[in-house]
Amino acid sequence: MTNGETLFQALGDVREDLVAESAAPPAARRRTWLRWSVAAAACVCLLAGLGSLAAEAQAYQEAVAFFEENGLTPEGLSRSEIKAVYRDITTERFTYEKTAYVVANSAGGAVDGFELYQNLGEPGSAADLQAVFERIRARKQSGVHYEICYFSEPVGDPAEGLTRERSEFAKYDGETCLWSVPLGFDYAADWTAVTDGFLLWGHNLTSSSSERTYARLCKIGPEGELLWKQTMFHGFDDEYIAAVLENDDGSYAVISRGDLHYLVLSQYDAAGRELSCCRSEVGNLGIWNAARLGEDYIVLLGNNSLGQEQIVKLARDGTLSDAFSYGAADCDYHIQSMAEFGGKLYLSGYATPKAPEAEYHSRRDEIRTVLDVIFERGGWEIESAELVKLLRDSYTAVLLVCDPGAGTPETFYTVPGCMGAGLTADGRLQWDVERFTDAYFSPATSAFSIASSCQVTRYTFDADGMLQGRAQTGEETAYYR
Amino acid sequence: MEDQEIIGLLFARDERGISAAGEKYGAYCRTVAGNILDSPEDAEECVNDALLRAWNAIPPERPRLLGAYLAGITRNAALSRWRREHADKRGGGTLALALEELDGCLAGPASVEGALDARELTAALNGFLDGLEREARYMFLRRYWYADPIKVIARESGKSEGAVTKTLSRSREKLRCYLKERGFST
Repeated sequence: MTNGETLFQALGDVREDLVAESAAPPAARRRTWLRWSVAAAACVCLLAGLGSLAAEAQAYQEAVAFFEENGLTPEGLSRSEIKAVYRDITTERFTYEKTAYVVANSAGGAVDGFELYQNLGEPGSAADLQAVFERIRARKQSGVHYEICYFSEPVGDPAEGLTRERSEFAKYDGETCLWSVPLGFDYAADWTAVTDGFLLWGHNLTSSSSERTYARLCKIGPEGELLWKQTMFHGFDDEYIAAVLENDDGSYAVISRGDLHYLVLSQYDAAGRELSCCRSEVGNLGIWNAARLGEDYIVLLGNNSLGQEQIVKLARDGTLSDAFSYGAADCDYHIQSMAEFGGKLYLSGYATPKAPEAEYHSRRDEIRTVLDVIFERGGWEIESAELVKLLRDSYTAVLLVCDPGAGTPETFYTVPGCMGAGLTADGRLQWDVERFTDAYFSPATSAFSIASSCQVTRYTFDADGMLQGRAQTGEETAYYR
Repeated sequence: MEDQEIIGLLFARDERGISAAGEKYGAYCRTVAGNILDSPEDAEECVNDALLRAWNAIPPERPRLLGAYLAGITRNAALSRWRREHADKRGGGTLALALEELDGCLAGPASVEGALDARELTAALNGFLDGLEREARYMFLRRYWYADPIKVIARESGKSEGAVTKTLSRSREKLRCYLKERGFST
């Protein structure tokens, strides 16, 4: 079977909702241009004021709900005192004098270790699950955001039909394009914001296997001006950039993968000149994530088919100084996001029951215990509520913190019944946690066995790692295994 | 007849269910099979095979989207037949072109199927498709799921054939990177 046939066959088993959606063409998207509105600006000012009041009320409501759920007594406490005690208990930082009093006068322990309480809510019936998934797929970015856009340009005689690919980087406000800039290379893969602009990376497109794929990098200023662009010549037949990190001195660390087996760290100065390059052979491992850790870098490498995930530590000069995996005797950790914050590296992910040793692995290992329960009792039917409960029993969101010196992760916060997801550090640390809401079991579907919708809760931490609050974002995500 | 009524008949082992499914989705499935196979008669046989398989599979299966479910069975049946007919020859036809286009999306030699977990590959494809823009996803699935010719996709989406070709080319490049990053290579 050719590679094309293998893929074509595998595509035959993609989710039915994707197939059904493509039965009809989507409506065309229109590109509109900016129109200033004084009224809209005035509304924003009003809403900003209301927002801070709403946030205070929400924080208070959360604290009250926490007191009720955990049998704590708020008697004799003011509104601000209730919030202070709530923050103390959920962060296990007993900095407020009345906290000990509240805990001592309440029945039962409120918090166990570093475990964060989250009301998971009653599981849904999965009746509207299809609509939820369609809503998730149709979701569009709103507000000010940036996008990579792709175009084709005719080359030479139009009658010959030859074209060249072109990528642009654009700033949008909703669907209004504020500016857009050509990048000067064929295919832009991704981008990151840096102090004074944006770095974008990609590669040239090839038309035959005898051509080389070169990684490309460029910098765009804050107003959309192309400042510089570079091509990486590191001697590989195929090289692509996986991540770019900004150093404290304004230079950039570029992490790339060469010929599928090499991890490459290149340093570029602020003007785009390459300062150094170091390659390390790590085997067929994709670069899944990267973050700074003090003066060094932490890179998450993995291969789904081999069931391998490991963190490696790279020194500034690219030397591979350490490599370690993570997990515990009774569970496997799956890292989803990484961020440096307050001098420490935070890893967001989730823990699932430990999978047995096997030659090949897949993400299906995560639901092995759930499937065992279903299969052992016989039959193929399981209600959403019961399935959601089984999923919640299997997953625990974890937020790990790495000591900058040792680099080894330790458990920091956990939220049972959930999955740790996105992690962002921008003055404060925000940790997204997804909880299962509706689920269904589909034994006859090749693409997945269990699908579920999830709702996102965002936890916020200050620079000392103290939990400042949590809020439902209203965002929905889809889960398939 | 609504899908749930048809499925209800199939669960009750009432043959009117299979007739109703054929009436409602027969033309749709014939198009899917017809895109893969050259002969309308072969395509018709695949649709009949698919309906029979659905009759045997429901219950216990309870498809959520009956049309997509039947089209999926039809597609698999048509692909199997296409393979038998093209076992000793390559090239020719819309499907052959589509397969050739997909060839470069998996890094490594052609004999990778033994090393790949098909279920895992499909799961990765689901993730990839979820990440595509709606229009690009539509074109990608029309080309590589339905095996529609480029000109049909262009007509349906109101784009030029060149625009469809380029969108597909970019999507394939994204897929190549996506799969490579997840270890689907040898």
